[in-house]
Amino acid sequence: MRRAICLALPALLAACATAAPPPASTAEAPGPPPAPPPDPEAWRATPPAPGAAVPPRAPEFRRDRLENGLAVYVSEQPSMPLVTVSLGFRAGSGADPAGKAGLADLTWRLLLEGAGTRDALELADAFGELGANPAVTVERDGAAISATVLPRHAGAALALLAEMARRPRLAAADLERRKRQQLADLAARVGDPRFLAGWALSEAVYGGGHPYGHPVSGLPAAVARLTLADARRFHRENAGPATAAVILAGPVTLGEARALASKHLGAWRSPARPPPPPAALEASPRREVVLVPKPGLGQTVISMGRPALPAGHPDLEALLVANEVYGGAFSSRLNMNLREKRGYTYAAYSRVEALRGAGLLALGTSVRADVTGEALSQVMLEMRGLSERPVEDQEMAGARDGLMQRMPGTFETAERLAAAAAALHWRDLPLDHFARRVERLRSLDLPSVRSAAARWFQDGVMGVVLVGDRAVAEKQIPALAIGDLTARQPPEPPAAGPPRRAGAAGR
Amino acid sequence: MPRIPFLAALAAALSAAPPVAALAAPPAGAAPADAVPALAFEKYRLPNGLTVILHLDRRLPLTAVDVWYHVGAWHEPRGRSGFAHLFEHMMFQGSRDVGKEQHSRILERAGGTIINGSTDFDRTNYFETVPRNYLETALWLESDRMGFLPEAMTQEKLDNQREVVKNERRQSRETAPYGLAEEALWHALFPEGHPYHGAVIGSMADLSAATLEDVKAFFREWYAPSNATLAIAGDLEPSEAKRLVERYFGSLPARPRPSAAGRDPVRLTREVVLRHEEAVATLPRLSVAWHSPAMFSPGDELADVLSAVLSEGRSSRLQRRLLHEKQIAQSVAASQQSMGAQSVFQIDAVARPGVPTERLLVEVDAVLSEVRAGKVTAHEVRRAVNKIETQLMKRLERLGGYRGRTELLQIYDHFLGDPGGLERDLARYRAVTPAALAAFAREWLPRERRAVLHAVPAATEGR
Repeated sequence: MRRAICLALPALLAACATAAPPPASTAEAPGPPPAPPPDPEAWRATPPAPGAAVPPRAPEFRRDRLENGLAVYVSEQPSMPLVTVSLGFRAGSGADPAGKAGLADLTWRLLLEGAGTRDALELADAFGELGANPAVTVERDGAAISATVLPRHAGAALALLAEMARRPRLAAADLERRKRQQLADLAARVGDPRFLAGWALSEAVYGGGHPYGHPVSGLPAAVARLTLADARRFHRENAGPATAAVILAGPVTLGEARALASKHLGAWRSPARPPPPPAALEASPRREVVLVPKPGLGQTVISMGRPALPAGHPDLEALLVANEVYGGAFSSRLNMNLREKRGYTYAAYSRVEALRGAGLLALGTSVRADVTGEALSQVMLEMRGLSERPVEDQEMAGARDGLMQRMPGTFETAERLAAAAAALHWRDLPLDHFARRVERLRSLDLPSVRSAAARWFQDGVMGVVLVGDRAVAEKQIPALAIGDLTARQPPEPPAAGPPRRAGAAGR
Repeated sequence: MPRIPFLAALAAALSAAPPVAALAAPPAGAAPADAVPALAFEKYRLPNGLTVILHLDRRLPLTAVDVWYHVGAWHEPRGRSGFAHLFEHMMFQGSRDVGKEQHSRILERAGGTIINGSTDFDRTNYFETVPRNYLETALWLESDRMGFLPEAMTQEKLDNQREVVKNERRQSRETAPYGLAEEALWHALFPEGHPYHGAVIGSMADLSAATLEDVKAFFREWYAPSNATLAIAGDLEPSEAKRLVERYFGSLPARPRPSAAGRDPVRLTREVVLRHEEAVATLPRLSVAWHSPAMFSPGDELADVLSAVLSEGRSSRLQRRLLHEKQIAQSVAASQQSMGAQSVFQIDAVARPGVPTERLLVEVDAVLSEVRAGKVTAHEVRRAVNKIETQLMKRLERLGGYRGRTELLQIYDHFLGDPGGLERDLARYRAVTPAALAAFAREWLPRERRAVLHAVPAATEGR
């Protein structure tokens, strides 16, 4: 009986373990049996109250403009050991011209192949002297070239980046080398189940013709057709003071940043203009479940998504909180069910991508192959669960507070701050975007979160993609009656065959 | 020290931040080596043996907690590969006073970030970065699982996390490009019975064999306060932090500090060549691996610098030859995976379509011959060291979590016995010379002491 009490009330366990069994003689003692000695550690059963509340703190950015229109963003961080120097451009894969998917990625990466007086190797060496490897980031709404360096190297780093932006070589040999590299990268990627899931989901959600309907890298067949003229034109139309921003995050002031930008880019002139935002999209009822066959795979990658809200939309915060309850965090309903209750997966998460024109609500998980169907129906059940077990007050408060208080921890590094500034620039968001987010989160009420949950998490309009073994899917999916199982073969890798004799390639 | 530990989820004499060189500091040209930033700390020990490291940094209203237990995959019992990591998962399943699912829920709702644990060969750690007013909550959670884990362990929780870890293994091995190839190469370096054999994630069979009694016994043996180090960094009042540490950890009973048997390093005595039929990736990959000097032992820094000379940036020797000039590889990477007993130096090259891995090996060998012959220049070494210094400074940006300040303090304390190892760490890189790199390559990277693996997708086999 003592044992049963111990198991039922774990807080008493230590007392049980240390209490000596009562000697036989005391059994005859009159009166009630002596109480066990108090557990000196019993106080641990009460969680401590948090200390005095810390006001939510959003990252701050300052901005200036040069006479030629070039924007200069700064996140001043006086005590940071490094500075991230970046040039952001308002043209990502969403600006790929029709039929030229992958052109933005190819063109921005081509800037690494040589600029001004330096070829690709000399450029790499120049960054190496500064202790940096230059990074090229290309996303759907924009791109950035950047380097993270000791503060005394900030000017030298910006000089190199400015040269890449203003005077890239864009030579025929450079394009051929870069293109072959990107085709090889694609050949590697089309073997990766998680890349295949992302590719198929983009198409399922946006459709192949939408600016967001293809992977940033493009696909082999289209990339193989890109020409030097395409890249030169893309650069001419998208790299200029009206589309670019100089971004510095670290121990640097706005005045210092402006002076550096003015020195290296003040004379920059270009006809480039920002592309229009991609068109918004409505979700439509799902008719099919897309299967990308990958024979013998021991897990099935499940990926789902639908169009959602664009960046800066005033209803985004309600969606973010609903997403936090559903699947945005480790302790969200989705992961607690699929991982912590059922052990189907290592992780299951959903996410909100607030893109410039048409945002995305998506989720992903990799599950043991034999529970593919069951996992998929649990994912759907949790969506319906948002209506059947509506978000509770405490759930909402926890999700909202977590999102507000997480901000400082999300922006600890210079690179994160610079990336956030670049995203503000790409999406034309106000400088106080994050402070506004905090204010909107603070003023959210339960009905608006519940209605966002009901509106966005509708299982019937979610595009569904599976990457895995075909026989597994054919056995488990049709019974769910969630759409026709439609196989979509992975993109063909680029044609094999040894590269042309290229010993003297480059220059 | 590039390495990726397995993760449970997904997923100061106390002075201020390091003095930082001003933006406009010295003119261009041969700048003097930058001063080493001070990473000030206070280290002390509780009577029960728990080591505590405090570091003050008020840049953000955050506090990071990082608990290192000096036990890892090295210490797993025979037949229980992967157990140290499975145990790490169990540490998130609640303890006497913390319910299942409560740990991450409480911390996520508080605004915590980087809430996780990681298991490595030599140590296991648990960490969270929280708003400063939740420091006490974090210490409550960490102390409860340090003191009172077994009371909350059940067969159901173990069965659940065993499945989660098996899925983690499927995700990182069976269904990841080159995941099983990587494992086959590792087994060639560390044969059955070697404590590094299981590569942290372990085997499916050994994961299946783990019992609830194993969990409790592992806790009793290794998770003593005397075998742990608690690091706290951020916006804190030192006296208050010490009071809280005393309150939550001071009464945990002292247990003797466990010790593990040492073992002489292993080395290959002939070249081992393996072929692996790759089932996931589409392109062939060549991997070449050698045993190399242990973390922080002489030569470890040479391996780090050499890996940067070989594959950091377009003009590095391997990238230049295989990607830029010959255009026969899709990617190439050299890395020193630093570990406590001995390390692994490895070169991986993924072939372009239609290029056999044998061709890659010829070119890798040509580059290695140049290195052994002393062709690496002082310029190359300088650029490599510059990059390593930037990487080290990046570890000062975050307070906690992966590659943050608490981790750096813990690494230096664990391997060097002193959290203040930053200056010594930088100094060893700055002292590297071209001649030392050549000597290192001759001594540690000879053909007859390496394992070579050709991972070839079935469809391109025989080309």
